[in-house]
Amino acid sequence: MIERVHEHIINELGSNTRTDIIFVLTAILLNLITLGVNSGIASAQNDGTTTIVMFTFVALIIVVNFVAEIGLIRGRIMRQKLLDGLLKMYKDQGVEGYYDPSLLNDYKTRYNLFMLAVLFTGLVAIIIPFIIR
Amino acid sequence: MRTSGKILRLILYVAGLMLVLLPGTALAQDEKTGISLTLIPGDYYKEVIPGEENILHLEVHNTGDKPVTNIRLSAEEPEGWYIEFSPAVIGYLNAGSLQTVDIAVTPAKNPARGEHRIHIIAEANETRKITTAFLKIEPATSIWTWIGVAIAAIVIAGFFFVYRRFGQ
Repeated sequence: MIERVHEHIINELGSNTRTDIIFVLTAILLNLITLGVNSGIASAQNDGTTTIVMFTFVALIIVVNFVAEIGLIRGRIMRQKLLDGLLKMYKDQGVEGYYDPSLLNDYKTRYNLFMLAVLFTGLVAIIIPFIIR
Repeated sequence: MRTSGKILRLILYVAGLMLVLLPGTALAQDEKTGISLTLIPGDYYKEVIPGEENILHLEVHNTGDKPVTNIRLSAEEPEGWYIEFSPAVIGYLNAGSLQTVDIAVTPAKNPARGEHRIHIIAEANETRKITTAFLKIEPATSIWTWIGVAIAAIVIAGFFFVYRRFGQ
């Protein structure tokens, strides 16, 4: 049974990683696309319609970036819980020496860096078109 | 008698040939009429700020041999732009003399970015001349920049709040 639980945790960790990658890539890709679109709009004729379109894209950036951030935070918490369970399992089996608990801190740092990357591409996508305009 | 007739015909032939080949020397010279329009260097391609008056300096030069009268200055400008000449009419310009004209160009408040072309037209009773200036829109420090910065600041604050709120 313990092997089944171990396998389940490993699968959960795998799907957790995939979900996080999707969040990060989607947010960064959308930020870059919006940067291009809004920059194009900003350098063209300025009227009410283009302003509305621009602000709609800005709203999209904000929503997607916040969704990505919350998703990444939840992913980090989930990963931590799964790894805590895994560590406990290893301890019970007497093999905890093979897993360094400091890896958990590394994961936290990595998630923070992902969020920073999403945040900064989002900020660039917001500010640059307004400067061009 | 026959030889002298030949000589007379030859002289007449040469004289006729000279009349045809050298009309400038043989005929009275026509008087030239013309004006030139010259913007001072730097005004042919100038950066202007939307909604603000920008002054260009134009020199109207009578390049002909006789006076030019009633030179009316006008412009073909982009829509929403306002162009004013000072003076708008030059009543009389002597041959070889020149007159400086100030052109006040006020671009539209919200023009498309990039280059805009204005045609400056001088129409006198005797002649007509056109020149072109290229004006590039240079945006003033825009309120949009501050709006962008404000949104970015709100996003940073929001990120920080979400991180603190959900990150525990």
